[in-house]
Amino acid sequence: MSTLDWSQTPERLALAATLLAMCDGSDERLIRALDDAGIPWIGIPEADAGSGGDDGDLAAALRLLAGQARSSSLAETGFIGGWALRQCGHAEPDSHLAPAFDIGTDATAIERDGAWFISGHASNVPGVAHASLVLIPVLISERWQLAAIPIDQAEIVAHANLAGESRAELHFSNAKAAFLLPIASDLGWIDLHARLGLARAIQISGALLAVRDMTVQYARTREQFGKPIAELQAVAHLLAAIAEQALLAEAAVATAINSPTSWNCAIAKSVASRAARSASAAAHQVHGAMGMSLEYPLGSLTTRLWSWAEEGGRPEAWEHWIGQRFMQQDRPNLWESIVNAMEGADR
Amino acid sequence: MSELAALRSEIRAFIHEELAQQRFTAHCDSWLTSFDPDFSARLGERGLIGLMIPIQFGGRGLGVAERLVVSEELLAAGAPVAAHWFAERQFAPSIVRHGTPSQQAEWLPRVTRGKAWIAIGLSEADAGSDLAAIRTRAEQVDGGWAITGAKLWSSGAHTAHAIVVLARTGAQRHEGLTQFIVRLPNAGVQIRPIPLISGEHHFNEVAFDHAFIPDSDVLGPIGNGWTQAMQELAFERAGPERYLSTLPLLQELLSGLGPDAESASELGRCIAEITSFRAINQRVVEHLATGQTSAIDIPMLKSLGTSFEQRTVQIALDLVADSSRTAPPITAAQGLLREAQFQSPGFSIRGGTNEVLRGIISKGLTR
Ligand SMILES: Cc1cc2nc3c(=O)[nH]c(=O)nc-3n(C[C@H](O)[C@H](O)[C@H](O)COP(=O)(O)OP(=O)(O)OC[C@H]3O[C@@H](n4cnc5c(N)ncnc54)[C@H](O)[C@@H]3O)c2cc1C
Repeated sequence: MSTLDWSQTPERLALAATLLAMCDGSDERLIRALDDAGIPWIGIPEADAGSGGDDGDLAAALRLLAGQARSSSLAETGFIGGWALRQCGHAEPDSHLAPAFDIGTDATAIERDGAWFISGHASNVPGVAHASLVLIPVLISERWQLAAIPIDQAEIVAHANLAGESRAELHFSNAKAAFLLPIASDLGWIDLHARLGLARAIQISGALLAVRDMTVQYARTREQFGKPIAELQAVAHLLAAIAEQALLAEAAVATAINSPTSWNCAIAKSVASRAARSASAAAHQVHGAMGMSLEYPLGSLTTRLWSWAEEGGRPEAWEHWIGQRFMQQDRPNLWESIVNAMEGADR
Repeated sequence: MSELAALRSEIRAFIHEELAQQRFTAHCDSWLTSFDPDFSARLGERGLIGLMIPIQFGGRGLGVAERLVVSEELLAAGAPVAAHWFAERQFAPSIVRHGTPSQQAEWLPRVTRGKAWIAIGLSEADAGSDLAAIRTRAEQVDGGWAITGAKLWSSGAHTAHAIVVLARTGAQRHEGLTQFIVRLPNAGVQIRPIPLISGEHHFNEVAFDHAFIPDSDVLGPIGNGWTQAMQELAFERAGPERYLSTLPLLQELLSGLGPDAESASELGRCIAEITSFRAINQRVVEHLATGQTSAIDIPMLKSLGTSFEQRTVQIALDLVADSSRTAPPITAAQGLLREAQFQSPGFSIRGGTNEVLRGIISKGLTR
């Protein structure tokens, strides 16, 4: 089965895969093993005590884990949080991070005696269970800054998404920030949000490949009316529809990885989210009642797909953002915008 | 500037020039319906047809990525490319691959000049999706072959210099098929228009009554026709014409919208999807170049893309008031919507129906 090319170092991916197999069943052990191997700190140069490599490597590892429906802090600490810190010129491998980049986050900062104190709240924050620092964007004198707050400074209401992954509502009242850094001047809250969106889109694309393969396999072996259901045309067309959506999501994600502008992240998130919704529905249809059983592995993928589709910006919201940004141009030209954005120009 | 970017500027400059001189207006589905021999000739003069054709035959000997740049720019602009489109897209690659030296010497330079207009003779009355059921047959006669039968839905046959006919030369379902270059006119060939639901004339019935074809016009080895036709179909299915047919309509719709338009979301979704189709397309053509024509990515792209094109017509129907208006004055958007709507049922039929494509995809998945 072909996949779109992502830049990746096969050794690292192989290492992640090995760890995944070794830590079968225990997410806690997996997180520790990934940490020991430095996987969350891919993207931070080795000179800065990181693990080297680039976004594509991290994305490939993220996709691998998502395909196995495994929870880890790779997205939060590495792809989202670590990236955000690097946009502030901070490239040290920290402890685990909880990036508060989803909608419903609103915080302010005041300075007292050279320290920064944050008040406000953050919604649907991932990674809190393992993090020691919460990253939260605050607007100070019309400039976006990133505040890193020790987790014990937050009032935490823990919950979980549909797949049982840790999410939390956080409240801060005069929480003392460990540090506060200005974000690169051309970036703002929306770009952090888009990065969260891209992480979820990558995870969606990994889970979709797994859903596709699992559903194809099921349809080949499940027999009714004396033959595999894959031979029934209505079922075969559902399989094709799932594969089409998996391909579409992967193409959108690959474009954003090659040229990670917020525009391309928005595209990846909206396309992947819609693909997640429709492919998960088709996969459940093919599986019949079996797909609804907790023991059967489909549900751990589809519940993730459902949650990831909504987190980091729902497709409707990103589509609106894309459309509006496009229309705000001087003389909006559809085709030229598409070509330029894919080539990473001017966005 | 990269070579691809330079090429993109080159084709855009040409298009801008043509537009500035009001030599064409954008149309939907222009690769099937906008026939303009002068445009094709001017494009050919600039060396912008048949970029992959070897230099010694008048092409540029470039790769699939370069060809894709030129095709997508022309389609996005809604340029009138129908005259030379099939010749460039599938006839030329087939001649390069399977043609005799004299066929190559004759046809390839003509294609690059935009002066070879070729029709595709595959479908028949009883052979649509089940293409191998074709009955048009070729019998060996002195110095060549005599073809008898009828092809249906042959786009542009009434203007074409030749139609490439897939005909039966043996009993075996696939191995009994051979391709012929049937030059037009031919005393044994009758072409009758089949008007479209719009009333326009684009496709035809082409009847053959012992039409004589010299041996020199057989394309490829006897019995290799099915393989060749499948290769051509891969080229046919793998292009941006499967998601850009309605782009001129989308672009026109924009000019009527303000920045706060409610429909911004619809538009954003279209942008996101076209971007993704392009990303798939760029990879798919690389596959084609390396001969991996069985990759199911090609039918997936076509099925996704044509469903999208049909959805854009529905979006436009929501946005364009009075779209069924027939009395002038008709706005540009109304005109483009009308032509897109008339053509839209065919998006998911021509070149293999979406149901057939999904059959191919699922076979590939479960194999
Ligand atoms: C605008 C236009 C231009 C065309 N130009 C050309 C041309 O230039 N040259 C040429 O040779 N042909 C041309 N065609 C013909 C085209 O290739 C055929 O229409 C196409 O292959 C389908 O065949 P059919 O129309 O006979 O439909 P049928 O094969 O009769 O199909 C009818 C319906 O049955 C479904 N169906 C059939 N078989 C299956 C299956 N196995 N599984 C599931 N569903 C199935 C189809 O999906 C469709 O919904 C053109 C068609 C159009 C619309």
